[in-house]
Amino acid sequence: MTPAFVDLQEVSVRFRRYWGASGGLKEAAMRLVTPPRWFRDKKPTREVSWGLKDINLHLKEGERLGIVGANGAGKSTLLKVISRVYRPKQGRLQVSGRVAPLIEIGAGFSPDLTGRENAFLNGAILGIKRHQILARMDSIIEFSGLGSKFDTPVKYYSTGMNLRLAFTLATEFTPDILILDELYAGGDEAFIKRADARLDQFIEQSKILILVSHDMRYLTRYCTRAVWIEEGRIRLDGSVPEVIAAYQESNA
Amino acid sequence: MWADAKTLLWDSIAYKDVLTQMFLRDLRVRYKHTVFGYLWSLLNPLFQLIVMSFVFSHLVRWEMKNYTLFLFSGLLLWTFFYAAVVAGAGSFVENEGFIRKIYLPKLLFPMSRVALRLFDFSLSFVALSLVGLLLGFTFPVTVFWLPVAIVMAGIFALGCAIIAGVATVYFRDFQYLLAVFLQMLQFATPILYPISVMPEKYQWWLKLNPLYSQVHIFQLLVHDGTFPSAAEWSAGFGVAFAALFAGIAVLLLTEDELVFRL
Repeated sequence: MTPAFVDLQEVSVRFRRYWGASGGLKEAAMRLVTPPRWFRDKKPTREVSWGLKDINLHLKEGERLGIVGANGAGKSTLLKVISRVYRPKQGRLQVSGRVAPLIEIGAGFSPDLTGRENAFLNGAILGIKRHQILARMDSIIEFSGLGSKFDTPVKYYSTGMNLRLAFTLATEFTPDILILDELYAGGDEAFIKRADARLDQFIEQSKILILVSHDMRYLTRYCTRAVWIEEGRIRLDGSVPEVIAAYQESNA
Repeated sequence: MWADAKTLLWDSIAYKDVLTQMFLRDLRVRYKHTVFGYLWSLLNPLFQLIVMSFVFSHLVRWEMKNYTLFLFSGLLLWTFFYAAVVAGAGSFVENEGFIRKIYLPKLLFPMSRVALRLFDFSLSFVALSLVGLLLGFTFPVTVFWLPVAIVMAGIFALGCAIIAGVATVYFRDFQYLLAVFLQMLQFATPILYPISVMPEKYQWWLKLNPLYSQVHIFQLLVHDGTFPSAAEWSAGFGVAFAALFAGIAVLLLTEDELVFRL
């Protein structure tokens, strides 16, 4: 098996955001038949910006990266590039290994399906076969601690229950690359303990972990390397204490 | 573009389990909380057929072997096509939660929806045929070629569904426009009436309608009992594959941008 790695070279992501009815047929048709000056005073309903600019990052097996930065700096955007939600406009992305992204809680869940049914759908998305899930079903139920709620539609779950199911599915079949965003928002203490133990185990197996958190204790505990992202660029890439110190100083 | 096409193809194969799961999900969710459940897949076209056949066979008298059978062959295909394109139109917009949060090959969304409608279509065809047999209708032996025609119709509908899906992302008004357009299309396709009632000089206009080649094959197999000629098959499959390739081309051109447009 080829070793797992993540490689970004000069990666830039351009955001084009639309709101209002800018996507309407009417407006498109109107533009064709009306003089452009009529539109001059209109407020813009779209915005083009660089979500990420010239990112260079290489992660090899066993590396555990922590990402810090202010809200809107581009942390989640980076995670979404690595998990292929956003395609870079420029640059090159290469990922080797099975990726389990846990970027938003409940992403990839269908609210009308039960926890069990979602396990199959979510498992398929993560690249896990049906029979593998069936074989580990007991373990999934036990770890998630959902008990009888496992057969209730996910739309009736609390945030914490959603998180427990998502985390369990993402980590049950040890992925090569685990991506976690703002972990533990809403998990109870007992679950956090189990999750910590699982992450420790993960570290022993020298897989790649990418973690975004505002909690510096977690970064210190789990990461071997950190990057600080600011306005879509990497401001600093180094050891965890070094990056945390610089980041906290800038916020002081 | 060529590399993207390869990725699209390989990923769609690699993610085939997701397709199955999405199909099963839609199947489970659809008739939830209803009393009759899957029976609706049969009842809906049955009622529609009864009403149409009653109205039209009393209103106008066309020279045909069996108007109900004629209607049956075209109307079921039309119902499938309509449902598939409307479902396809919403396939990206309504799966925003998936597309913005995780990677999945975009082709899966329209594909799973069209597959579900295709399943409905086959089911109601079989069920209504059984009803027909009970009522004493006789079907020609050419009906055994229907599976081939259904595959053809599925390919055609998938192509149209992808285009409708992408168009809805770019122009949200499209989904409303689509309803109007489809209604016009239904009347422009010889489904309720045989093409022979049109004056000869206008018939070729109707034949330009891409749906005509599809409907025509169904009518030949189910009503006329004649095996479609090589030219008719190639027209049907040609149009179907042209629609699919057009759909895939549109998707390749837009797939990276879809996520920003949702």
